[in-house]
Amino acid sequence: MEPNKTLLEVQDLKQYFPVAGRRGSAVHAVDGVSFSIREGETFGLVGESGCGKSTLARTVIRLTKPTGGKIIFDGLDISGMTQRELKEKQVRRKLQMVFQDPYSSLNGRMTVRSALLEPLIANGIGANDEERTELAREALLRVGLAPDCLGRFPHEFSGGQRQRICIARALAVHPKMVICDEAISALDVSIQAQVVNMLGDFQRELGLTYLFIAHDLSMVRYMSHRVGVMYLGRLVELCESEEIYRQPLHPYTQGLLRSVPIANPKLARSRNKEGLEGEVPSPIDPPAGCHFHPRCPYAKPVCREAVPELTDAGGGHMVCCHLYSK
Amino acid sequence: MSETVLKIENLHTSFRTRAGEVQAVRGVSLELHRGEVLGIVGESGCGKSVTAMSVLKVLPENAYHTEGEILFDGKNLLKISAKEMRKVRGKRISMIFQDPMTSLDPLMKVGRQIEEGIRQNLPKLTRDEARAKALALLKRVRIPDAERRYDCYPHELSGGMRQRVMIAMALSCDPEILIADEPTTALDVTIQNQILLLLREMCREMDLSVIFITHDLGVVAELCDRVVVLYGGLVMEQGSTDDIFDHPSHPYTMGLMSSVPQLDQDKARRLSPIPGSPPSLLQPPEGCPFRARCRYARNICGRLRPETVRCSQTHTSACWLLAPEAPADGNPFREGKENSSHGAE
Repeated sequence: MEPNKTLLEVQDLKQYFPVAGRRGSAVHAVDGVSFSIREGETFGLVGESGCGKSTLARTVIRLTKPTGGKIIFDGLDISGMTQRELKEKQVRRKLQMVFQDPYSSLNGRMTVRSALLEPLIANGIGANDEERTELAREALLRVGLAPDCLGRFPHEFSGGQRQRICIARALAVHPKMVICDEAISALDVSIQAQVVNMLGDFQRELGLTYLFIAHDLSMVRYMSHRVGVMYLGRLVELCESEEIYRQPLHPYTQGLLRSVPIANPKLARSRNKEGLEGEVPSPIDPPAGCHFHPRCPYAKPVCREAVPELTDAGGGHMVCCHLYSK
Repeated sequence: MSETVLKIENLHTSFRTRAGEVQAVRGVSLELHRGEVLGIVGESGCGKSVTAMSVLKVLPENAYHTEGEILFDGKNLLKISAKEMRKVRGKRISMIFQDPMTSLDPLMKVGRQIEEGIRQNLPKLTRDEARAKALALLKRVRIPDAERRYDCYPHELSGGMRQRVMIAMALSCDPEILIADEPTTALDVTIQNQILLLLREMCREMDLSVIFITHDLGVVAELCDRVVVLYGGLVMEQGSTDDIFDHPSHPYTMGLMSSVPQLDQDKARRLSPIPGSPPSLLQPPEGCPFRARCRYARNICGRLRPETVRCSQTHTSACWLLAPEAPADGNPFREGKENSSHGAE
């Protein structure tokens, strides 16, 4: 692992989906997003439901073909690759994903052993089943599950244990990067902390890179080195994770942070709880100019017309807002 | 202390299943005071929803109560007839749920659904009067453009709007008690914040007492006056919100708090999760249900259920560490601070 080497670079990525029955109109799920992730880094992505963060993840891992823009992973442009190329160039192996719902991401009719063996077979790892079973056993041990789980079925496990199995499955093929799409959101708090600590340990031991998507801002801050905030398909702010909580610049980020409940009653009583008014507009017909202007308390005439650029507001703190453009 | 509007005494609720008796609630006692927001916190399967559903008697068929009583207005709700219960449910005690989509009829306009509830409980109103009242309620819960939304179907509304409709419906008959079962869990934080602000306002305006069920300690700190911490179908700790957050007096509560990162958490510090997972309630453990995951567990914890100890005027906890004969060595509730000292606050 080389520090400061860029592992993933996303350039002006666009993902539109056609709307049935409405020719010419499209859901602008991801609309021109650019960022890069260094090796060994955790990049957090936050935003409300419908902001495009999951679509972004699915496009980055090439479950869908992007409408526009580039995805450069480990030195290769993967945005136009066919499924076959993705497999041959080992992209599928190096880039893994853990999903939100550990109940639907494991096949109920497959034992843990077959679930763990499948990616190994698909990627041609291990000479025979015995060798692969040994690797599966190691993967289970690593996530803190007993090897005798191999013969059991998903329904015999709790949600936290299932998520461990999903993580074991993702790690079994020795990926470089793991995308965690709300991977801990469905778990109870005491179990969340177990999984989060485990993910942190793997990063230190194996040099893993994470794209960590969540809506829980305190967890994202805790997990991530840098954080990007998305709103209606666009990245509105991007900076070091400490910085975004200390000094959020974008009015959306400010409102979002004020809305997060704080587990401290004295602080909760004294602070300003004016969150955000209204709701996220439809991505089929998003507001012109800055997408956030109808809800923004500082909106100016220019915000209704021109789309702001993501610009550096100082010290690498990127923000996409007319208030900060020169 | 203000008047008690609802009292749950030693409630036991179990479910008959193919695998045997699941003892979801195993002796919960709590009081709801007039005008307060009482938070019930705990992880999945701790019995918080079952406790709430027992109050309104909306449990599935295979549920039964082995012991206990629920006192409301001088009557034991567990003993009254279905007919009498209908006069309480929705009228004097109402409830909102986590997922508004499953509580709303998808084939009926939302305005009509609110109207239906009003006409059910106030049969003397004419159609127009009920409509006017329903519309006023929609405006009251801050639904923008209420006249137009009145004729919308649930699928045409966003999650936040649907939850507002549910709140309007629950408040339509001026209930004394509102039970809110994770009403904001499915919502985004900015919408959650709006709904919490709305609930707080309704509570003040309508002299409402609220039982708020959640797993989110942040929401508890923001909204609740008092807190009950449930685990394994039992009350672990109970007290004012300040008591619970300033002086958590049960290892489970302490564990919950160190499991969530604070917004100002030191990132170099690891989170300290609670090891293991909650016990099965099919064969609940003897003694303290938290014993298997508790780092302070002793022999007695596995044998006897801890007695509830009063830590201060407003604060009780069920843990053997608080018993007078508990060892002082390695006891988190003895080290440095005297337990009696925070009673004066």
